[in-house]
Amino acid sequence: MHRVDPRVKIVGAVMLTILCFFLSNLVFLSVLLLLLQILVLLTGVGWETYKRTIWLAVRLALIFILVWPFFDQAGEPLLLDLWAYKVTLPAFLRSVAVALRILLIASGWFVLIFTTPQSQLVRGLVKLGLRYDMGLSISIALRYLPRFLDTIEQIKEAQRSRGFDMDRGGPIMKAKNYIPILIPTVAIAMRTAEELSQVLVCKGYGASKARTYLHDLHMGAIDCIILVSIATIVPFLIGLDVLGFVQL
Amino acid sequence: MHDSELMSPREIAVLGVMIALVAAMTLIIVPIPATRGYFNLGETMIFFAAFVFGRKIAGLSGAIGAGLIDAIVAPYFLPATLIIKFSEGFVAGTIADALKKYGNLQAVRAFAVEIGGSIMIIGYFLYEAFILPIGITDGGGGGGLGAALIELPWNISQVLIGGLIAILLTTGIEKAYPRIADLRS
Amino acid sequence: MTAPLVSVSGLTHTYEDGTLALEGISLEISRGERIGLIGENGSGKTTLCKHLCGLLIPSSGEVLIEGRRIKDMSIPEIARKVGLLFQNPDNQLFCSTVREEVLFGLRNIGLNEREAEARCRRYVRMLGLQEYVDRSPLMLSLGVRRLVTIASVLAMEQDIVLLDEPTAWLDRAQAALAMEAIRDFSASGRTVVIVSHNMKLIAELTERSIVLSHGRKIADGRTRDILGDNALLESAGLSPTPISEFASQLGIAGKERVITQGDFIGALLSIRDGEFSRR
Repeated sequence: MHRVDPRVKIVGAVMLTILCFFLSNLVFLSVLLLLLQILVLLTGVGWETYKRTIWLAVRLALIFILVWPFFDQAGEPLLLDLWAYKVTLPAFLRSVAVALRILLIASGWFVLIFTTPQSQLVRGLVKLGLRYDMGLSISIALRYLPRFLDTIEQIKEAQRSRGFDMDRGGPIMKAKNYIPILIPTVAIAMRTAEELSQVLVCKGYGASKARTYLHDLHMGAIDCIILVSIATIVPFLIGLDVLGFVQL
Repeated sequence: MHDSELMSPREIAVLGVMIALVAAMTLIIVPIPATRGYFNLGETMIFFAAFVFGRKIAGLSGAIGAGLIDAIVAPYFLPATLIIKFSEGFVAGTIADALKKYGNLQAVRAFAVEIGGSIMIIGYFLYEAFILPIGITDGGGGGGLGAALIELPWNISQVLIGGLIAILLTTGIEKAYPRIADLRS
Repeated sequence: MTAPLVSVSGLTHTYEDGTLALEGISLEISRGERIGLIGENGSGKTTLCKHLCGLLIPSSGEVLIEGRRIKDMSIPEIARKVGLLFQNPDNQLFCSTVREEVLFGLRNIGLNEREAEARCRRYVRMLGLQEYVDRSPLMLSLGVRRLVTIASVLAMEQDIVLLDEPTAWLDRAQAALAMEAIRDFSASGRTVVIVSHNMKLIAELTERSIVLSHGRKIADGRTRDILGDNALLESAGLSPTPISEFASQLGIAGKERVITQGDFIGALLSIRDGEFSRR
């Protein structure tokens, strides 16, 4: 799966997300979710990583289910009746549908993100139509993100060694406490930006609009098959749903 | 976007760095997890960008910076994040620029935070209540309101605190590192 | 008997990914010492400094400051006793003037305004920063930024101060200022620990040296002995001082005695006279 063209994966993730917003049938949702778990398994990513990444989605899904009965009490039969909290079976199933939707989208993007290296992601986006200069900014951002996170930690340590205690004080104080951390961060970031822009000029950026890549993206046979399938099936299903032939 | 010309090296670098800053601030501050999983200071950087670099950089870095993080930890919010964070930065930047000449800079910035922040709060509220469960709620009313309401206080505090820090930060940077003006267009 | 200023026993630090940064470090530091901490990159020098400052929590072992466990001390309490000069000056500068920058730490440790101002003036002058005192530190050149961070650390007048590459980024005149300030600082009875790759600096400023290699302490003794022991230095991945190198090439032994000028002249004379024997 790691070898599938990133463009296909990106289109896949986006199409899946769009499809999810049309899906409300519990059967379809469950089946699709199961299929995606198989894909997740095929990515070869460890359970720990998956658990950590998917945890927030699970949490939101549970919250949706839990608080749903405060605001949707329509339908029969009534399962639980606690003053303002009335759980009816249809409403419960509706909340489950939303929960499955959330998990489905989360799984789909997990597959995309964890099988595609950053450079390929950006290149895929650019080949799909993202402006080259924006792609460059995103590449810069991805490269400097870990370094900035590290810098922030170092700054926190440096200020702490000067007796600066970030944790004391009420919320307003705590907010102000970020200033001795953020100003050095921003200053370092700005110096980086200055240098980067000079580097770009030195490397002849903007000399010509055309660009060649050392490792260009090639769509293989499998990629085409997958792409065509997704690009036809999904709109087809959505069309059926919109026209009322199928309740997704 | 009004320019079909590519960005200058300076703009590319500034945007890249701002995206990284927004993403970093969105990641590292996690004191109290809420339904979105994190109370984060990404807001601070978006507003900062709006005040210092203007609406285009603010909108783009907000959308892409927060979008990158959401793509990994909360992809079900991605469509909302891209649109909402872009608007937040864009509107805050527009207000800050337009009203700059009318005296008190802090008040102008606070106002920009209010409006931009409201977009964020209302945007996510509507998204969680009605759009995320779309097609499901027309069976029986607004079930999604529950989750959206839980989220509300976190989002409000995020805007207030993030905005406050952004205003303090901007003033601090303008005093400590005035050379930042060179990076503006 | 009074407790030593700093006492480290069995300090071990393992990073989250399993790499061993420090293993079983034990040492004692007394007041007024001037110590060099040397070792190749990755040997654990910076990690050890962070432990002595309470910034990191040991996986096992203890750090005691004046007999108190560092983990029992609050941030301002530690900051009053131990200071750390970080390698990169940009990691801490944020105030709108140099004066404010120096005052920041002083206020954190609870000095009153008058005392703080007095110290600020003193150290600004010591590091030659008078003309910059009202300017923004972030806008100054790298060397001056470095001097500002040195001033703001020394001004805190802690009992022990750890300096990571204090003369890095400094030109000759600035480095001279810095070294003079460090000498004055230590002359007032405070402990100074210098972390550096610059052996000449270590030789000039310290009497005791500790050598780290792969997270372990492999030597702890007089600076002149350690810097004269080329075999030891090489095993730690360090280069000897030029004088040591030169001396060993001339065949003058260095470990048991101090190399004197007389030794050199003798060796040079024997070269001139056509004899060149390796003793």
